[in-house]
Amino acid sequence: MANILEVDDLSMHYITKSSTVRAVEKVTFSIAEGETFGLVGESGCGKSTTARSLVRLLPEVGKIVGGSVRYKGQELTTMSDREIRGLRGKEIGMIFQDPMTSLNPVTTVRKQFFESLKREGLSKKEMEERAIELLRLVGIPEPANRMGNYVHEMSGGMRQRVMIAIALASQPRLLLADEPTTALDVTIQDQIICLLNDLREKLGMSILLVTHDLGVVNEMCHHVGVMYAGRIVEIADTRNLLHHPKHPYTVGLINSLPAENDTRARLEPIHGAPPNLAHEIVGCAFAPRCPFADELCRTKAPNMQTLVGGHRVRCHHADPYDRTRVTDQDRDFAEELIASGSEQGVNADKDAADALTPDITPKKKGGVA
Amino acid sequence: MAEETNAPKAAAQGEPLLEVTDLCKSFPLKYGVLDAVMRKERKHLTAVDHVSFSLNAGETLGLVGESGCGKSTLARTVINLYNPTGGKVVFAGVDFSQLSKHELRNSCKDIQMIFQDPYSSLNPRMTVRQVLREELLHHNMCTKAEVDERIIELLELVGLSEDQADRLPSAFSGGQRQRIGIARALAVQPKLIIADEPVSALDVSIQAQIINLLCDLQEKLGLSILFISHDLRVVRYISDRVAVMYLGAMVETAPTDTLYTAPAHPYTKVLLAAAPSMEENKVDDKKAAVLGELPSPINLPSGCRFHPRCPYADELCRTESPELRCLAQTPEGPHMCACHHPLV
Repeated sequence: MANILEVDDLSMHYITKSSTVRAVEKVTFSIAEGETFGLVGESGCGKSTTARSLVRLLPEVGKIVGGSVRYKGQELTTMSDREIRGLRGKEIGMIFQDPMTSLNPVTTVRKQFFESLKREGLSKKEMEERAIELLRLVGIPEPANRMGNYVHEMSGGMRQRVMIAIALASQPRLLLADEPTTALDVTIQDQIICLLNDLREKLGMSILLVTHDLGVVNEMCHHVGVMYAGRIVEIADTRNLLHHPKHPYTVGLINSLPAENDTRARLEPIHGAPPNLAHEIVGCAFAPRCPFADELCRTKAPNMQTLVGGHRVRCHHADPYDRTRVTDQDRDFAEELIASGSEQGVNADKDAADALTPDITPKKKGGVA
Repeated sequence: MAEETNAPKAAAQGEPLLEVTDLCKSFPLKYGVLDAVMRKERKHLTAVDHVSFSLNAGETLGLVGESGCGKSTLARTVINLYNPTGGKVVFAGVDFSQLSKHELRNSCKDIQMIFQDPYSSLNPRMTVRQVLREELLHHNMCTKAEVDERIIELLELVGLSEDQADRLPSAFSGGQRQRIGIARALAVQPKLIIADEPVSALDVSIQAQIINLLCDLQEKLGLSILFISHDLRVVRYISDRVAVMYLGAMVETAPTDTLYTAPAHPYTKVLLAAAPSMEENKVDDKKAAVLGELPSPINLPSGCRFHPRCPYADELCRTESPELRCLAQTPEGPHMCACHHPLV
């Protein structure tokens, strides 16, 4: 599969007179065609900023200071404003956490659709038909009656669907979804997850999902990157990442959640708090909170290294065994991987990973609710 | 430690600490002059509809449900922040409806709340020491001479250090603020803590710290906790029993393991199925995705309030509202469910 998006060493800093906040530091990842890639992390780790940096939706003080973003081979970081505006909302669609702030409260759903469809050069009648078709696609009942509604007349789940429908109006190839379900209740969240999975399959688009919820990641993503302090600390396919995490931070995140099978095991929180990104970080960004940190970690920043099975991790002490709550079955799996994986080259591992773990495709869920 | 005297004594063995019977709370909707002229019916929003539950000493009851189902209103009605429209709250053998305002305030001291957003519930211009001092002195929890000592004790109890006492809330992170909120709640040595979404605004790593803290405090001080959350995973971890609310009514209560492994109400089942999971095998078996959205609490559906979204609804459900009845008695408590066709 070809990569629709390739991000290489992307750095984005907020530069003001008094300080420089290194919000995104040397982020590298790629999204294959038709794939969902997840960016997870806690608040302030730079996951949303990374998504926005890709299409340069940044405030004045936000500067891309290095690296490249290639969308279908086109370099986005050096593109003119005019050109990138042509991509945004057209080839690259966007949906955000709070539909109330990203939809226009003073115009009807119809007008907002037309705004997006106008660029396609359709007649009014065609636009109306198209919009109704899209609303039906995202599972809104009686779509024709909804066209004249204002946003405030709809419920949260409905608004989120309208926003997704508008984002899909221009048939994007890549959808940037920034916490699309965070503000919703679980039953509605479930419906939106099903919907996005379904649409991705039907329309063959790629999704960059930004979320803090590892459960949502499990149900949507093929590959995941974990971010901490503006850096990606670990990238792997979803199953490997969730069940065989290698970076101490990922392990900590997973151990902070109550386990689903062993509900009484005591939670193991990560101690301390994330670093202030306005200060330069020496050594590994996670070292002050890491139980495995030593002198090396405190002085030298680790590079991204590739482990068996295509697992990439930014840690000096990433060992092939797990430090998480493992079952015997998991351990067998890990040993099997190591036995069959031997030493892999730095980048020639992706196919090998696919071959080793053939069942990594994300959970297919029921049809659109 | 002074807190140890705090262990529940009023509630005798087997007697529930808090007993809520048929509690109702409805809010009148705006009724304008025009509505009166048109002789329109006065409308009410029923936020809490005949809810009954009990909470034993030292127990944690989890209360789950989607936003707008009345969880927070229920909590506020229990401690009389809202006047109940009907029903009865008996706490440690005292019926709240029989008390005068002054007596009520004294009794309510034994129930303390922790809120979701500690920042908006702390005065931004008061240091932690001032917040705690005010609380301690107002309720005559200790003499002026002891107050500093007591403040330090409280801060250590929630994992903060003494030198943080003179800072303003803005100097603390979200998790630390939640610790301050907990310290403030503990200052008056309550018997019951009502925690309204205490960890929802926190990142998972911090969330785990606060949950551990609550568990430790409960063990140390013998507290009862009413834990309100929409996060099913956290509720499962912390609760002994769980109650599920839907549109203002209690639809199911059961011991935690029973509820999570064998839910009886169709709503509980879809709620559990909808929660995103990290399990590998929670795959292809077509999920019981619930259809539609929460109806308006102003015009409640006829019969069972879940019937428009329920896959098992029949004629009976559409006409007759099911009562909360006991399905089974377990050592940890009864399994109650309000459904005509319970799944177990």
